[in-house]
Amino acid sequence: MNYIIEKNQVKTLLDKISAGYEIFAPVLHNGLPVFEHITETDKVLSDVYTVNSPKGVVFPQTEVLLKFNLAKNKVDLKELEESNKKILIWGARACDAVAFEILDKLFNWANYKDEFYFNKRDKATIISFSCINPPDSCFCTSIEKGHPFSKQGSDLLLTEVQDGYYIQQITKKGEEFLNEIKSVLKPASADVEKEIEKLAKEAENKIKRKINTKEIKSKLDVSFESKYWDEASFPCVNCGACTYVCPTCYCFDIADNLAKTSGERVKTWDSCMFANFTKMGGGVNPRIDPKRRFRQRFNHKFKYFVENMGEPLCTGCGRCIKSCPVGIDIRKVLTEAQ
Amino acid sequence: MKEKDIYKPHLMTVDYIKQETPDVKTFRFIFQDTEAGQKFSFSAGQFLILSVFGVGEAVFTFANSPTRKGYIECSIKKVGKVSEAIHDIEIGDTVGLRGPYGNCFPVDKLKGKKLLFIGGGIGLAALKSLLEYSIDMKQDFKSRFLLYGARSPQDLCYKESLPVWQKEGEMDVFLTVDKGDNEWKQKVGLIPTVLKELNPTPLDTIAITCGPPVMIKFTVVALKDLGFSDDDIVTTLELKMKCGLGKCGRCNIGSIYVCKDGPVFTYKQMLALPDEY
Repeated sequence: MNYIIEKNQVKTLLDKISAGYEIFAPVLHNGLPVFEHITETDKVLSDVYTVNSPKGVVFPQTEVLLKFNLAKNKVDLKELEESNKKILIWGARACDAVAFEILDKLFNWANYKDEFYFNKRDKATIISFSCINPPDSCFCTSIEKGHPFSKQGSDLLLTEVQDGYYIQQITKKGEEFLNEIKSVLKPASADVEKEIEKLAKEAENKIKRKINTKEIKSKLDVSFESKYWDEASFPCVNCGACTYVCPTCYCFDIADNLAKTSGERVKTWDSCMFANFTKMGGGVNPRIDPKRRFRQRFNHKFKYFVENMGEPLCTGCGRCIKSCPVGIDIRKVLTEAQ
Repeated sequence: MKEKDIYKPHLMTVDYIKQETPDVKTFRFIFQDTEAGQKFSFSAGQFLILSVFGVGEAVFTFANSPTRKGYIECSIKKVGKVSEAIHDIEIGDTVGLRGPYGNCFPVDKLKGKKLLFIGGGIGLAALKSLLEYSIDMKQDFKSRFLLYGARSPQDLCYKESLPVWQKEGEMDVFLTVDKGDNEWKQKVGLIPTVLKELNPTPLDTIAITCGPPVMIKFTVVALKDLGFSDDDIVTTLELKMKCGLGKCGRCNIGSIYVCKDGPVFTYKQMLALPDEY
């Protein structure tokens, strides 16, 4: 049986499951759609393009790793409280769900599984929306798993059709969730699948800009010392916006906060764009200038990560293009690399 | 696959502190959880992450040999926020320790060989772990030889250990400083220059060098002039690290992550890396 959720039933759906789930969804924040932990289900938006990606749901911007109390000579580590609620990610883009599969690799890499990431990841049901009209900044079709209707990483994929959102069930987790919400859904007619296929093809054709990731990799293999990076990085102000909105950028810092005798150790997003990222205690900094940091970002995404994990650290979502204050376009930087 | 508590440090009691130089102290730490201490094992060349709670974490190398059990020893130079806080701690205080991380010195490759240790400044701390290991496992190695340099006589670490190593390790120890004083009887000059004067044979010898990047750079040139092959020069790389777990993204040189693929590299391996460091 295939289902449709009517647009005016989204709030009913979220209210129905809210007792058992922490809900993360797009809402307007100062007029901009952003992904947030929500409590007011009437504020939730569905088929929108958010400024930030939902990666923060499972990899929060700041996350407590340890809590401790200090006494003379002694340190007491405190147990961390953990929510027993499940997590619902409502309104990811199809490409954002692809990002979770990429991040899964990193957080399970090098013989260490990061339980802070996977505790949340395993509890999360991801409900994504396909893109019928991808914006100009999108280039998901350049990425192997990417497509405006990609099912990779999603548990349910929703597509806007005439009477609401058509639901495609992708995983077992998605099926379980469907069972929980069945009462607010209505059956879809059999010919909707065909319409979805047509919409998917049309959406794919709407993405005009493509990059060739294999060709780019071979160019990056030989361009490390090239003057190209001086030119390409010249406009970059190292603000780090691209890394913060990116659904796959994962670099983080670990830092302590202390208030009198009680403190916490946090894992917090960091950025390869910042000088302090690689600056050592004695002051030596191997990535001393903006060019080196800029070069690192593009090489990490399309060379180093490919070598280590077999795919680029990118979903083609285009957020970095939209958020760059000086108009740097990752597609151009990579295509022109030499 | 280690799944639980990958960021959780062991609680350690500071058991011993020695002022080595004006800005270097050696510390010994004891596990507060005895069972965890008994399970803990490491190899020379690996690193650990120490924390002063409320200040933060920083990366250091094991300075004691894994054969010298019951404590963890680190020699720490005061260079940044965390190392300064560590210099302020007292015997009986608690610090955090995570690890061991990274690869180690290639002990199998070193077996049966002459070991030429070349240390600069605080770089000797990482070598000390292997050097003492090679003394404790004397039959495994042909011989030992140490060239150790520092800025001035007062900047030399392990002054009391040097004669012990000489005797117990039956080894030649050469010291050099950039600038001597009235009492200084040993060599004066940069490590690469003194190394060339000493003219050690590359035959059956592996050179293991640790120190500031610029010292390593010119020491490698000297070793090459002396006829050492790229594969017989072993060194350690030091980069800023936070997690030690291959995740936080900052200690890469190309696609190599120093925390998981290093910190020990042969010069041959280093030549394959992009020239970023």
